[in-house]
Amino acid sequence: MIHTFTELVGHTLRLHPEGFRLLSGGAVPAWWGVLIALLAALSQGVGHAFILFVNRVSPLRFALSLVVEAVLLVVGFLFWALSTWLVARLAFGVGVAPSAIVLALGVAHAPQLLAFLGALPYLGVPWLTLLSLWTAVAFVVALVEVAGLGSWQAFAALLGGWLVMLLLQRRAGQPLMRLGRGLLNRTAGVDLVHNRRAVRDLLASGPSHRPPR
Amino acid sequence: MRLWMHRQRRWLLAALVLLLAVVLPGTGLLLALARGALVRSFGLAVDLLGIGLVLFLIVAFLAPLESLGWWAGWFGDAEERAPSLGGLAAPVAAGRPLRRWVVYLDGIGQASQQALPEGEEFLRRLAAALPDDIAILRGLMPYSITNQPLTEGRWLARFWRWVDTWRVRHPLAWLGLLVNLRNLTVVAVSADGRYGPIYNAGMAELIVDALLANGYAPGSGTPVTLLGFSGGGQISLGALPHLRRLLAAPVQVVSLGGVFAGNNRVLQAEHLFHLVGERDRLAPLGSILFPRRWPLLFLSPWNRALGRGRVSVVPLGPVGHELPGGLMDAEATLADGRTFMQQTVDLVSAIVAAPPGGDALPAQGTGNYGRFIANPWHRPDAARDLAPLPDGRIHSRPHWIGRLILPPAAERDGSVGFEVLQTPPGWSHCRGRRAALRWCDPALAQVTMDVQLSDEARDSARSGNLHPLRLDGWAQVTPLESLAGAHPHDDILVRLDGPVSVVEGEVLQLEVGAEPLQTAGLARALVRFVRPLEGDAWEALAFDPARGDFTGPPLRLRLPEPLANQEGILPATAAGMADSDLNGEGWLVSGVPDGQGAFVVQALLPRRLRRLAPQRVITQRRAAWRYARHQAWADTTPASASSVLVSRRATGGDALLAEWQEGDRLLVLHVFGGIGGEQREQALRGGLCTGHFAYGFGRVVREPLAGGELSVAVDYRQVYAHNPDGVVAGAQDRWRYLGERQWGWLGSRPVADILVRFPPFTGTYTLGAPGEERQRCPLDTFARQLTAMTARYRIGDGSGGSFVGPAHNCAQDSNLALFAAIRDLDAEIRGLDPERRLAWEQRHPRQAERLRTLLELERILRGRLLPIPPLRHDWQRGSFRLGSSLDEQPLRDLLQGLGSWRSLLPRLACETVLKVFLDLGASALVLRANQVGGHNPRITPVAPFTMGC
Repeated sequence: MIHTFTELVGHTLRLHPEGFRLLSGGAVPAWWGVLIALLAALSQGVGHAFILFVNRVSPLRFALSLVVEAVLLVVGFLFWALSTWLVARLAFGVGVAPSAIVLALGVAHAPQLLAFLGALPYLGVPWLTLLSLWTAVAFVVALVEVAGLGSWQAFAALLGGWLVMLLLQRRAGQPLMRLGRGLLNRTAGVDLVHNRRAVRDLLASGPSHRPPR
Repeated sequence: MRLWMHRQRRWLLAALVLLLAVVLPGTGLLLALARGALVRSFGLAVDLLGIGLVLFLIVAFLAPLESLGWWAGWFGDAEERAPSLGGLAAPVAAGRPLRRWVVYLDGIGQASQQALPEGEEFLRRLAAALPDDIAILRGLMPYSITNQPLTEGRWLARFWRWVDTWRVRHPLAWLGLLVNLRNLTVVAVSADGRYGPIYNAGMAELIVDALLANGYAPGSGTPVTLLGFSGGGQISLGALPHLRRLLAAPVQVVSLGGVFAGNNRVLQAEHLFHLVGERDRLAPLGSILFPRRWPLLFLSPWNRALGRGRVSVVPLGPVGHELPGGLMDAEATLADGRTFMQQTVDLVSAIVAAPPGGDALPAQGTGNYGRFIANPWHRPDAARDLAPLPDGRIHSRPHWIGRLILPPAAERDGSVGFEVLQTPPGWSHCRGRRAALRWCDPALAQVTMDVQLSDEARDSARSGNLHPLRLDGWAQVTPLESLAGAHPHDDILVRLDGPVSVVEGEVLQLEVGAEPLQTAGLARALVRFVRPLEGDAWEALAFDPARGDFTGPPLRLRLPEPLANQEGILPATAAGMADSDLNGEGWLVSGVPDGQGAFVVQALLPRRLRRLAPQRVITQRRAAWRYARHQAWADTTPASASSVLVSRRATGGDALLAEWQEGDRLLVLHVFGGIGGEQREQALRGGLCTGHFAYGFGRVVREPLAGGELSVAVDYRQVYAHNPDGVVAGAQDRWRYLGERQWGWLGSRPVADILVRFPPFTGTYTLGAPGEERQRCPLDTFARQLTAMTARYRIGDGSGGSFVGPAHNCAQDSNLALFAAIRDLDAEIRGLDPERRLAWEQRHPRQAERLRTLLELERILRGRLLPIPPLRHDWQRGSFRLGSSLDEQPLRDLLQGLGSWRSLLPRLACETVLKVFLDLGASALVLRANQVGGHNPRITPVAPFTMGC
């Protein structure tokens, strides 16, 4: 099993279609996709942990926040996968099961397993950019292999799915978004400042004016 | 470039090899084979290298943790610092205030509170070389936000102590590299966009604590020098802005072979001196590894600082970075016999001990102004100018004309001095007196503000631009003071416009309600040049209104050769004046007596640009626009001028001309182009001639010198950024702005004055209830907005500098004033209650019709000038800040500029506005001139660039 897992991740990192063909063979359970997405989300959390530090989150809450943030990211991922499935089905008439899309897109998160290196000073930001591109390509390859779509169709389905999700977030998903934010703030013990300008203002105020814990 | 490539050849070669390795197919395979062979031959070594790389990544990964944890309070309270806060390298003078503090930040080799031995030796020598009123603070650990040395109080302290001891005994041992690598990760933290602000702020607080603990007088403003060696350069520059804020003192940075990213706010430094040797292999790494130091990213803080002269790179000769052969090597010697160390000490002590003011602002003004002011014929001189006129056919200008004199700061009372050089009839006894001039207008209070020159304005002044240096530090500077103090000298000649109230007493007092117009010359004549005489003298004939021709005894005029600008371009010449096509119609000349029986022509204008009668009238719809847009600028023959009346209404030519009546007011759109030819001006280096745009106001008048022929008088409202030419934003008449032979543009540039007659905008309205009626003209509202805008430009909204950028430039801000005028007018009209408005419309049906057209004009202009309203909140709110330049927030500035993109380019702005007016039925007199005056074969006119509007 471990061998299959590492093989799968290895193939994905190399953007090798072979890895995604393993998925359609049924050798891989669907929750693997969720697991990879969760691990990737944890890694991303570490890569972006700077935000938690800036907000002066205490060590224990810091660890908990990483977990909660990862879970929330996975929930977001699931919504996105489902909206992508919906778009693929409605726009291109693809008859694949939603779980297959979840699995494929989850596995395509593999490059983000290295997102923790985004915490490296100076090199971290370009590294994260590189990973984002890498992951985007992996998404397209995964959808091409699993749903049998062309590259542009896969890209359109992903983009469409993302837009649908964004729309849902802004409309019907508002309460859920608020819930997620509230949960994260509660875990962190402070109202987390995410906005770039607010973070800049917080930092510009200098260490003497750090927010109270 | 070739020299640079030669110097960097090794790096370029390495980069090429790397590129080939990545790009060429099969190279990867070769590398893999090579690695396989290496592993087989040196298996252990290669594996160790891999392990080393992983360990380095782990160290780098954990490097931000110290500062992040410190910020988050994970390691206790932030105030808990290491007990040692450094010490002075040498005792300082007791009982005397210190002149400067130097804070030494060592290179990445530092492991303990002590610098490396060579660093300590350098500090000893530096302390000996510096006077005792300069203190040197040493002993800080710049690679720990908590000032914690590697060798104490850490888990690995014992290991680092061992490493430190070992490398001091064996300077070349590779073990010392470990300290360097560890500290290098901290340099990366300081350079990181996320961690840097935390680390740098913390380091600045540490430096401040150390300074205060060692005797720095808080609030004294004593200047500080950050002396950073190698990685200490980045730490210094990172801490710089925070330090400056915390100490409220100037901070200078001296980098000794410093390696730094280009994202630091270098512009906050008093100055950055970067000392680097030819054999230094580490310092140049910064300019390769950090993209913001690449010349390509010209808007990065580093490149902006370079461009503004805030960085001085001091070459050290054949000197390297670290020992041996480094800039602190006390054994290696230079050709002059000094050791490398001694050279470094000499240079640093010279920089640090330089008296304040070494970087002072030029008092005289450099740039073209500094050159032009040396021409005695083109600046006011009462002793000369008050002499009687040499000929009765030269007429005194019937205005109050005089030189503005800025009062000393201690004697300010709201007025400025006015040396009366010319008066209207009946006041000639006042000539030569010094009056107190006041400009009274309640609206001016909004643009009266404190002036404190910004760093950018100071840099700009140093590079030759003319900023109001004399007003620096003044509180509540009035628009009149900013006009009088715009130049380094009291040399601004103005004509008082509108009614002048005169109170004669011990002190002559003059009061005006309108902005004084910058002008040139005290007397004028209409002449035709006949032939050159000796020197700069010319024989000319004056126009005889009775005969309607140039007759009578010859006049003796002088046309002294103006001084060339910094680029060697002559603003005007007198060569071939008599042969010019324009000489037949004659020239209006303005000037002063030379005191020796001749008249000095300071400014001239071809009569063709002054008279109303055009050469052609175009009234066909398409042809009119085609001329205004294309043909007017198509002919750029030097020394030519044209005058064409256009309208898109189907009216006969004579009928159209007949509409232009004496007393009519006009809107003026002015554009100038560039100087090309053999002496192509620097501004055209980019290949694009943007030119300049300005609004102005005109009036149809009778010209007495030409026997009362209908003519047009034009004054500009120049929204003009600070410049090296001495052009001052504000109201200028044509004599000064165009015709002045030293300061004006007519002789060297192609220009267009488009005079628009459009009664809904240029006519008057009778507003108010019967019995309380008042006359209002949209032009007056516009003039008020432009007066305020130009006053703000003169002082850069208090920063002392107005700069050209996409969001703020002559065209953008002139049109912002138009936009604001339209908004005011609209508010005033719509503010009327409907019943009163209806009553007014019934009383004034023709005016009501004009008003409807005006509102239509407002609607269309609003759409054309502001096609993307959300991008220009500043226009809509009526609030914005001048004095900001492209430097500060380049992207925001660019986006804002795009929000009103038709005003980005001067000629496009002119055409956009003109088209709206013409479409609504206006007529326009298009006056064009190309380098008019004498013949100068070394320059040619270049039309300004435009695009579809």
